[in-house]
Amino acid sequence: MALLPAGPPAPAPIRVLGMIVDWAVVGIGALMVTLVFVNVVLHVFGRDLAWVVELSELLMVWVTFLAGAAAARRGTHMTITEFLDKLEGGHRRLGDALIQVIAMGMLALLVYFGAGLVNASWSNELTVLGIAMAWQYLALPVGAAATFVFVGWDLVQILAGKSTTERFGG
Amino acid sequence: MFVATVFAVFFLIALAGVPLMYALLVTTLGMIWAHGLSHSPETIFLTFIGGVEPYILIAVPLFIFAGELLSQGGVGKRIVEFARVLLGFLPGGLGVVTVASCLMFGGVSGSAIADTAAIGSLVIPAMVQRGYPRGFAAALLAVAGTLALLMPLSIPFLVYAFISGVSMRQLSMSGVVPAMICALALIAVCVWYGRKTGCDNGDQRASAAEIWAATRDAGPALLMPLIIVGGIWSGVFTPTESAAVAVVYGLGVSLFLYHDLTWRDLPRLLLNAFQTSATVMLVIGATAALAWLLTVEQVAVQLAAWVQDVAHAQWLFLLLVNISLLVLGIFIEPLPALLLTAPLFLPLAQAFKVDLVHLGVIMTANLAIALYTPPVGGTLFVAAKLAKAGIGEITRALVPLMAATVIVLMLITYFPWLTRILPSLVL
Repeated sequence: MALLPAGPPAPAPIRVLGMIVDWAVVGIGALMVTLVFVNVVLHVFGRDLAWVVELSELLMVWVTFLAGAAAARRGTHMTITEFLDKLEGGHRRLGDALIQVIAMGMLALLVYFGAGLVNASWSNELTVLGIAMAWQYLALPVGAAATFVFVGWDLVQILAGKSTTERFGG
Repeated sequence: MFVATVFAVFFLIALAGVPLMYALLVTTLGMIWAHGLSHSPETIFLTFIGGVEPYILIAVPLFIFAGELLSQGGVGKRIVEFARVLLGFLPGGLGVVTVASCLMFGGVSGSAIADTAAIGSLVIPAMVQRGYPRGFAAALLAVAGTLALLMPLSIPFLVYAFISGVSMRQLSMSGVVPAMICALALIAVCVWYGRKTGCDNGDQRASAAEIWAATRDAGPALLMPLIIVGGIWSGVFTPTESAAVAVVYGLGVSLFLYHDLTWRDLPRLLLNAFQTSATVMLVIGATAALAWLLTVEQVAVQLAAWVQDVAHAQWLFLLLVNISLLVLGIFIEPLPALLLTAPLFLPLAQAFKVDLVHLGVIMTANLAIALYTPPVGGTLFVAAKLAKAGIGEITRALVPLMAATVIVLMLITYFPWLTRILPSLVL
């Protein structure tokens, strides 16, 4: 049995990107649990690793944007679909396509301005870790770019006439 | 006018089916552009990133992961058995067991959906077999599952504590008494229903040996909320650290004690937990961006002045809070509704001298009701699916249960000492 749930059907490069994103989320998640727990244990013995808080915050930003991409790949972002679900056939496809176009527009802005934030912050350092803040902000354009690919592929599927169930399963 | 336009634009986009994260960002950037404001997109996106990084919020994915570990790690069946030997003899016994199980499991999972799914899959078949109508079984699960939101590991509590700046220690203790009152009210309805319909007159009383065996089996799972709350209460760890302890404890119980999970299950559970958390965190970040715009444009101050004109007294303000959240909750799930409304209600509550911890419990209790208010709702759908019942028959069966929870909501709203009593005793 596979260790991770399969994503929706897609060409090989998108499937590989999906797997990289999924395993990155698992790895960062496991590291965060370990770091925070180790700090609790040290706490009990009256010690504290100050860098754990800053590193956990950095990892939190990365895991959130990457897991956001994984969620977009599986169509599980928080959405109010009660009205959309009343549409059928071509109207539903048009609605789904418009939503993905809006999402892609916003993701393009996130990549563009996110890259700007990264470029502008190589000289600013995180207080305890002493590394450039750009490493933290980099999560935004990277996560948004991966999401853009998944949403773009979903748009292609919608335009090919596939329903929500066919794209993401029941 | 500005705030009305913001909400009109946001709801239009969100109700059209655009994921909430994008709907919030489009609204924020759209309002800046439409009003010719000078805020740069970089500022908005920096606030967006800033909204997802605070250390306290790391507890969100960790609590979700701990809940997943225990939900899928065989805790549910042990808790149901524990509740059965203790309370199954009462009239409406299976209903009573359902409510008690949901309360205890809620203390472990902190998630209403997990609570409804885990307990529902165990008790609904037994309830139907005993003669309960499917509609009532589903309605009871949909309502009882939401008790999790008022228990100490509640995710909405954590999010509210972050937004409002109130102490998570205090907030997590404040929900326990309201959750227990709500459980008692539901138990009363179950006893009444069991007697009235005659479908469930209760089991034989369990023997001391049976009670001991069930307690020993469920004990490790039931200890978890005590360890977490005790750790936070005694200051050994912070709420964020308590989440990591919950994960490690959940791993120990599920992998080594109950053996219902294996190491191979962990990557899948980690991915699920962090994916679920990301969908919440990204909405939190996008809400932070919109909230920043509303703050710099002085919207909260204007809104506070307007509400003070409309609502002349604290009781009227609280009534407006309840009504607006109940209506909003029909369309929107609890967390987004909390994220959208808390930044607006907080300054108003301060103007009306409402304790912010009390407001957090009121808002969470309201949004819990939203989870089963027909026609849409998270626990409503899960329970309907498990019971194979239609929304119409569930809606009819919901009437007495919902009446009980709304009465409890009013008690929580207008008797704030119900939320203060436990924190004042233990903190």
